[in-house]
Amino acid sequence: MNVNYKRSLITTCLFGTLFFYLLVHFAIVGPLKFQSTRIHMVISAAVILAAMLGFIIMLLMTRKKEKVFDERDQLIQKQASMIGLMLTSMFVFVFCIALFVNYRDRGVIEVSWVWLIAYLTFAFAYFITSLLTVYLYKVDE
Amino acid sequence: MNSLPKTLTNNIKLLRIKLNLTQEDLAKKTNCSRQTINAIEKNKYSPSLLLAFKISYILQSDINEVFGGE
Repeated sequence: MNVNYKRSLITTCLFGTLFFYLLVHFAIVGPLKFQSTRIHMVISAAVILAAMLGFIIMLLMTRKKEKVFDERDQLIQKQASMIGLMLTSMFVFVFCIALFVNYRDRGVIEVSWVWLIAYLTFAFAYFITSLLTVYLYKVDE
Repeated sequence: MNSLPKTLTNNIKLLRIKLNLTQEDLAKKTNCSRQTINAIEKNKYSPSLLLAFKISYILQSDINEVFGGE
């Protein structure tokens, strides 16, 4: 298994977990209570920290391995980044439009939505790009 | 007049076996990964002209012998 493929697979798992955790956690707690209590803030911070630490550890562990990054790897990464960027933009756009449609009449939204958009965008971008990389490697195999 | 080729084919596996080379050997000599050589052999990835020339050189063959179209 190629080191780049392995890295993408681990990144998919880490940021996929983070993405779905944030979504589920937010759905359960709700926008009003989200981040309002200390315990919710600590849990969210711990999960985000765990994902980030996992990512850094994975980068450090695969750093010393013999790494060949050839033209096929470059092409796969380029394609994954391009499609990933497009999908992330679409995700943010649809999310914001949905919020606008839902809260248009009220004129204000809970500030926790902004926190959620920020972290979800970050997690989604890493998740979708690495997932696409894994998919493109799998297709070529 | 022959019709234009639609897909790229290659004889890498045949020529490689003739020279007693593994995919790993060919990958190391051309400075790419074994997975890339495997993908080229299976016609799932079309290499750049530079990599195609490198492969032909290592396989001691003309580029037209290694790569073709059908």
